[in-house]
This record gives sequence, structure tokens and C-alpha cells, in this order.
Amino acid sequence: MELIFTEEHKMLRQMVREYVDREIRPVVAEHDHNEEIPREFIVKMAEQGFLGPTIPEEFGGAGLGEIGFCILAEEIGRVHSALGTALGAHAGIGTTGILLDGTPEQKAKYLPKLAAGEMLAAFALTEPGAGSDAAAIKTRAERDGDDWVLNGQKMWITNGGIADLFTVFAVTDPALGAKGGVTAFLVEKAWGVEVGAKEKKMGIKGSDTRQIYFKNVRVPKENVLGQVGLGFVTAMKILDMGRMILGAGSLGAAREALDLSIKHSTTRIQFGKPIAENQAIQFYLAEMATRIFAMEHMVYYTAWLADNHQKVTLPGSMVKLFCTESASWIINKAVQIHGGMGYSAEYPIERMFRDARICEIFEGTNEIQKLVIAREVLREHAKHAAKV
Amino acid sequence: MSVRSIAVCIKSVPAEPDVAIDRVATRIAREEVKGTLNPDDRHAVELALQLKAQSGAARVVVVSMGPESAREVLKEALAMGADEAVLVSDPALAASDVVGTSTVLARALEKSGPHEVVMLGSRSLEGQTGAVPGMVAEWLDRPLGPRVREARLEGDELAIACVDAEGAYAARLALPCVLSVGREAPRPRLATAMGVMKAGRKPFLQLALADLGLDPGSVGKAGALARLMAVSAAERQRKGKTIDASRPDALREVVGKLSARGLL
Repeated sequence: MELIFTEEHKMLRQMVREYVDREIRPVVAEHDHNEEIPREFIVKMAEQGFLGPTIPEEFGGAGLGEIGFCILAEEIGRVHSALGTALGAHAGIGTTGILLDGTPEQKAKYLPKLAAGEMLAAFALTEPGAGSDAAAIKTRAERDGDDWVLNGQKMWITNGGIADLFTVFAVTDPALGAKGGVTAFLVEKAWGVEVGAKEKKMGIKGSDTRQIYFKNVRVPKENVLGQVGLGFVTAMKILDMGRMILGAGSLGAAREALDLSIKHSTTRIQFGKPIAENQAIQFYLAEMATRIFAMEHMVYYTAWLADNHQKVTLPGSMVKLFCTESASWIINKAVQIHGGMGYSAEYPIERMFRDARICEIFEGTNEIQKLVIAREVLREHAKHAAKV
Repeated sequence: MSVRSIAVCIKSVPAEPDVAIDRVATRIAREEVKGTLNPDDRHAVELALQLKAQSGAARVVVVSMGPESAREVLKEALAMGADEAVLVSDPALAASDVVGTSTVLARALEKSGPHEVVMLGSRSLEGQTGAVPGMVAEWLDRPLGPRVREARLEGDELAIACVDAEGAYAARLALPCVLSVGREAPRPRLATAMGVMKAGRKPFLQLALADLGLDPGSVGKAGALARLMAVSAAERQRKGKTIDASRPDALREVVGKLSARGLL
């Protein structure tokens, strides 16, 4: 990985690590227990530039690019998956739409506020009847003069209760559906977005997940994101990037699990010797380290592709699939290596085990990732076959 | 006199707690260990950035003498918010003593200045002489504020608060002046992501001995007035005491020892 990390990337990683050790590590268990990350805790990260990692400097962001964002997501994901999730929703899928398809006016209006933490962002696609089948969304947007009027309901919205700006996908032409009938909107909470109760979850408990409701919410036409009817294309482009960031967070958690496992297995004495001297434990460590090696290369190669303006649909889905499953596998083995201590809520590995599971489900289930991957490789094959 | 420019002399010191000692060369085997910004210097950078904001100074310039690896700590200080960096690097500077080091720093400060305020960490983590700030002040013929924890521009003087072994005191220094800064100064800020990205684009001046008009014979090993005869790694001893828990009075002894130290 030395191949692609610049001096800036190395300095960034060092700085994020110091911040994580100083500010984040001490409060992870408390956030998990309270099932809340205080808003001001997230907002404070703006001083460090963490709330606008990919926002260009001219709009007050850090301009880190995708490799830099992955470093940030990895180092935070190492210790605080719930915070990584909140950050991914804000700075990743909540901001990426504006960066990719926003008008100059939308960028000037929202990006500086998002980078400064004056506004927090969320991404609202999923609905009760539209999870993996995202094209089945029912939320409706109807034109009324210079406004669009939104009605409907979104579900499992990360940052639902703390976001001030939602990237919302709504049907503008039911006859066309996902192919030309869905439009993306930038909706400010202040315009009447209602939020439901906080969901009770297995893990990432500090992350604020809610249903949100639109009842005749008026959105000015200036807040259409991208072109009317092309919202589904925007959604998929945003998710391509989001999946890579999610993979970076999983990489961080996996690394932490390996570090904790090495520390534990080299100091835990059973039968008169450290358990790391047992081949059974060594084989676990070997497999963990090997998967992490692969994860790291996938994540940063994909980020490099994105920074070089190449499409990351296929590698992004591969990263999401492989990294989230590997993290769950690695953390599961880490629990095993820790024995009873791995199951005790007194130790971080128990929380990490609960936190990892969702990553195989959200931002497109891993089964959906396989559909995407298969579709892309078959398409490549068909293109090749047509040439010969 | 207003403050227009603040300079901070900083140093790269070994990051690892267990550094390799090169016994033949009587020095730390510097090429084998990763460098980090000397802790006291980090406080000095913080105080300089705070003074810049308070005094309306135009710039903070960080200055380091050392091998190419010193570039990294200069970059880090730039990422924290310093505006310009100066690196003095020359093979002839190896094994400089405090006289040589302070001579070179004083020249580099004159060359990059004028700086109304110069700050240095009170001591470096590995050298520990604590002599360089006073010597730089002497070469520059300026007053020295030792172990400063606060500094504010008031009128045309610098109001400082200092600490020493006896206690704390306040003083006012005429400008230009030199300050030594220790860990009593405000907690250093971390670099920001924006700072990291901007660091590489800030002015960075690299100087060799010839640029400072110094004779190679007057600095480095050749010009050293003090010669190091031997070095060894410190023996670390813990003053732990094991109390056999099976003894009937074990608990009483633990309580007694803790009480004697005022810990209960």
C-alpha cells in the first residue's frame, strides 16, 4: 500500500489516529450504552475537517479525495462503528449526491454548511416496501407551481433524527418507475420533515436510525438534485461510493479485532504457555491477517480508481461484499480467541461483534452485491463476445 | 513594536520508547527509528499559533536543523497551522553540540527573519541539555523568557507567565525576545485534515551551511567544544514490592503503605 499512499495520506492517518485515541476511544462504550452519539460530538469533528473529507477546499472541505476518506473511515471504523456509520451517512451518501450532481448554487448553499457541521446530512432511499427492491419506492413528488410536494415514508434512515438535510428519492412519474420516473431532492428538515422514534438495534447503537415522514412537504424546484426522472441513476452512483467507504470501515474493525486477538493470545496463559503458541490459534491469526491484506488492497485500489475518475460499480460492490463478510468472520474468530472475555460486555470485542453484523445488510444486502457483481461481469463477457 | 513574525525552532526526536544506541559512534542510531516532533516543541508551536491569533502577527515560521527526516516534523507543524518552514540540513552538521546547534539556529533565524518572537521547546526529549534556548537568546542578544506557559502582546511588550522549580511568576519582555516553552504551555492542537492537505503547498525553504555563511569547521563534530565519550541505554527499574497475599497481615500492610503515601 506504500505504492499509493502519499506523504499527506500518511500524515492524515497519523492525525486521525491521534484524534481517535484522544477523543473517540474514551467514549465508545458510553455511546453504545446510552444508544446515542451526542450531536455536538459529531459536530466537533468539523474542526478537524472530518465532516467534509471529500468536499473541495473552496467549499470549506478538506479535499482529501476518496483515498483520504477511506483512511478516515478505516481509522474511525477501527474503534467506533456507530460513529463511522453516522459519518458515512453524513459525509458519504448524504453529501456525495451534491458533489456528483449538484448545481453550482446547491454546492455553494449546502457544502460549506455540511463541512462546518452547521448541517448534518442523511440519505433517504429505503422504504417499508422497498429495501433490496429499491425501485419499488412509493414516496411521491408532485409538481405544484414552482415547488414539488412530497408525500410518503422512508425507513432505516441513518442520522434520521439528527440530519438537517436529506437526499430524498421520490417518484415523479409512476408510469416510468425507476427508469425515468424517480427524482432526487435535497430536502431540508426545516421544511416539515417528521421523524419517528429511534430504532432499537442489535449493534451500532449510537447511530441514530429512524423512519421519516413527508406530509405535503414543499420543496422548491431549485432543490431537485440532478435531472428530473434520473434520480435512480444518482442513487446508484452515490451507493457505488458509499459501499467503498463502508468497506474501509469494515477493514478498520477487522484490523482492530486482529490487534486485540494478538494482544490477548500472546498474554493469555493456559496449560503453562501463551495460547498464541497453539497452532489452532495461529491458524486463526494467519487467516485473519491474510483476509485483512486482501481487504486493504481492495479498498484502496478501488479508492484510487475513484480518485482517478473511473467507475467503481463493480469493485465497489466487491469491496462491500468481501470486506463486510470478512470483518464479520474475523471478529467472530476474535471472539473465539478471547473465549469468555470475548462474550463479556466488559471487553470491546463483544460490541464489535454486534456492530459488524449490520454491514452485511445495509447499503445493499450482500445478496444484492452479488447480483450487481454478476450483472457487471456477464455484461463484460457479452461485450467481449460481441467483439469476437 | 508590533509582532509581525513568530519563529519556532523544532526538532525531530526518536518516536520509539526503546531507541537503538550506536555505541561506537556514541549517539542514537537515528536512521533506524521513526522521528516525531519533540513534545516541548509541540507546545511551543501551539503557543506560537495562539500568540499569532492574539497579536495579529502575519506568520509563524518553523525552523529545524537536522537530516532530511526533519522535513516530516516541519510538515506536521505546517499542518498544525504554521505558515512557513525552514530546514537547515548539511552533512557537516552531524554531531553538533549545543554551541554549534545554537549558532546554526541563530543564523537561520536571522536569515529567515526578522522575527519579533522566537520560541524553542525547553528541552529535547533525547538530548535533555535544556541549554539551546538560552544560547540562541545570547547569540541574538535578546532577553529570554524561560519555561513560558502564557504569552500575550500588551502594548509593545510581551506579557508572559512562567514556571520554574520555585513556582510561577509573571514578567514583561521587550521585543524582540526569545521564549523557551515546556509542557506547562497549552495542550497542543492536532493537525487538521485541511492543514494536512495545505502543508505541502506552504513555503518551504531549505538551507545548507554555505547559505548561512558558516564555516564547516565551526559546527558539527569538527567545531564541537564538548565531546561525548560514552552512551548507554538507561536501566529501567520499577520500585514494585510484592506482598504475599497468603500472609495474614497482607491486607493490613497494603492499607498501611497506601495510607503512608496519602493515597487513601
